[in-house]
Amino acid sequence: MPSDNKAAERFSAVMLNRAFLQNPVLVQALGLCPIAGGAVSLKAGLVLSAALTAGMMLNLLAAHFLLKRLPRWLRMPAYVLVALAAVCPAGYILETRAESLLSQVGIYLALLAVSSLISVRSEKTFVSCPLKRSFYVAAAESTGYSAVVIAVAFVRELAGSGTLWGRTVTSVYFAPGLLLPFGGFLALGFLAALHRGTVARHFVLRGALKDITFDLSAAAEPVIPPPAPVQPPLPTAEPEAPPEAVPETAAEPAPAREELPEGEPGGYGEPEQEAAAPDEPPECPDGPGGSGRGFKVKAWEPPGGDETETAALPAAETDNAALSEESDADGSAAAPEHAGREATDAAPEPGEGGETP
Amino acid sequence: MPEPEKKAALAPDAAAARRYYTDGLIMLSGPVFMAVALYRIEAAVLIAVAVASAVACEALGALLLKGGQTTVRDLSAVFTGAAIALMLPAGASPLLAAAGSVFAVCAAKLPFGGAMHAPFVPAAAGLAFLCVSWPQKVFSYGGVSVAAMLQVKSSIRLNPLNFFDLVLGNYPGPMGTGCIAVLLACSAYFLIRRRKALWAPLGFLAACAAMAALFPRVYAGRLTSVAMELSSGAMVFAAVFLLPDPASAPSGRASGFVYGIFAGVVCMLLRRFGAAEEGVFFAVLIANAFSAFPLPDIAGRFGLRGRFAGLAGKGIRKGGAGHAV
Repeated sequence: MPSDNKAAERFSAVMLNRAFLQNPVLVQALGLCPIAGGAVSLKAGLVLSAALTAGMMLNLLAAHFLLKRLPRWLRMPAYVLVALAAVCPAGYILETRAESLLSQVGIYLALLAVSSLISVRSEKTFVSCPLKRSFYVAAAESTGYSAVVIAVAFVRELAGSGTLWGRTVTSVYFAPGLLLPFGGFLALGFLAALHRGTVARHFVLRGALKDITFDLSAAAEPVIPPPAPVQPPLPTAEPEAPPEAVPETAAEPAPAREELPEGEPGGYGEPEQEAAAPDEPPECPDGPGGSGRGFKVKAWEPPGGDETETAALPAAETDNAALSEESDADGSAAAPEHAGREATDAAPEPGEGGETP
Repeated sequence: MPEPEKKAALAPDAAAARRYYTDGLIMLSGPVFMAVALYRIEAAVLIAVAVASAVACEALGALLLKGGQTTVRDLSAVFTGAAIALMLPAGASPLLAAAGSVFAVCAAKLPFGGAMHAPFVPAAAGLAFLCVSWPQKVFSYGGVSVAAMLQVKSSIRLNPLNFFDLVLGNYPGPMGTGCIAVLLACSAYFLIRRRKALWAPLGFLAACAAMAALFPRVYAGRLTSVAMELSSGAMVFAAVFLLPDPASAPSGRASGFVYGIFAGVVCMLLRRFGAAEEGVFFAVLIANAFSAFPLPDIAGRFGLRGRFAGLAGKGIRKGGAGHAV
């Protein structure tokens, strides 16, 4: 069915964008503490990822159906309480069935309840976005987090204990120091560098990754304002195929420049989105425009661009000015980065914007 | 038309590093000679394996990260490997030395852009990693070391200690750090080539001596306490070879002296209250973390800016202008 295909494409686009390109740990640096401190074995990593996923889903339901009616100052502690509803049973189960595993994860299991990932995502996305969209985001970010946790746990257990899933692999070649938190941060750092290199090589994120270097002494190259692709004026415009040869992930019309969301914090320097009013839920950053960050995912192209991008350059300058007026003062530097991005997470159907709980 | 490739000359940073580490290797030749003379083939193998591991990691890292532009020519990897080997016991496994070198280069040096940009001394980081991972192997010397005696607050052993034993390194300990006479002679090289680099070691040793005299761990007299503390472990070795690292130490005289004092106080506190018998590696790392502390700004708030006018912050990352290399 065409609608099923569209839904699958949207989900896959969100999954790629949220779980990999904007990985919550490696790019947005959210939820680092439990990974650095608690992910010392594969079993511990699975426990942490399961607990976080459960907390995320519970917060999704609670935020969407209940918490959006609360004032903001009350919502934030409510997220913690809801996440505790997932973490406490996990701790109880471990205490009764696997006490050694509980001693491995220690306090970091309980710390998941106050994880920045859950709180940030709940406030930025779950209270304001449609349920389906929020579920996609929650599933994608949980997957991304879990992948990092398991990768770090795998490396640390193998290199720090010489075991895998509790079974001895090597009794000689392992370094117990890697089980300490500094080993976790080391593993995260190298993983983040690997991720960044992979993204830079295989994906074009226009103007966002110009400063990748391992040499901190080198001055970061200036972010080159990317040429903006041609955008239809209004969301009500008829759908049109994107000009470049890109994977068919966006069938819905791309939004007008003014409606492109400003994106979410972390990652590649995008500005923080402020709520319209202190107690009002913020506007959905993944609104009708699509992904929120507006990344366009396609195969790597050699430098030089194409005529379409070059021809669109003058329009990008005007659009950049419009964007910079809307963005925060801190985010003004990020405005040019948005100019070249198109929604890659397919925009929801026009009817989805009015979805109500 | 593309420009013809020129033979890669050393960048200014790399040239400065090469000068510094060449001097360091000249100074290290004394402890290396003593270690090989005392421990023969074991010491030679340990040093060779550590140096080879460090150089291999540096070459591989440069190939992967800098597109083939090698940084091995600045000799920092050779210095790091040799320093790590000399701070290990002679009976240590070569794999231990290799692990320390690999960690020092891959975790403490390459990710930060090389020797002149690393905020932490790679050799100290490597030794700290070994201390944390395999403390029994790092501190097993085939006898009771002076540091172990201090840890149990004993100044008496089977053969009585005398000052000549302490100065000449005639007791169990790391294979390259025991002979204080050789280390002090090597440090005289600083007087010729890098006088500014002496201030940090002087501050460090002065602080350690003061702490040993004021808060002795043994009851054989303050002078004995000072002599034992300064000659135990890798204290003098770290003061001479690790602390004046140009990428992490402050550049001014007063700031270098204060930096050394801070490192010395931390070292003595770690020795007294830490789990390991030797805390100088961790003290160096902690001092590296604080070496960019804005002393002039803080001094200005208390109206002391004039007195600290000579202080300069750490100069790293932009050319590593720590010392006049």
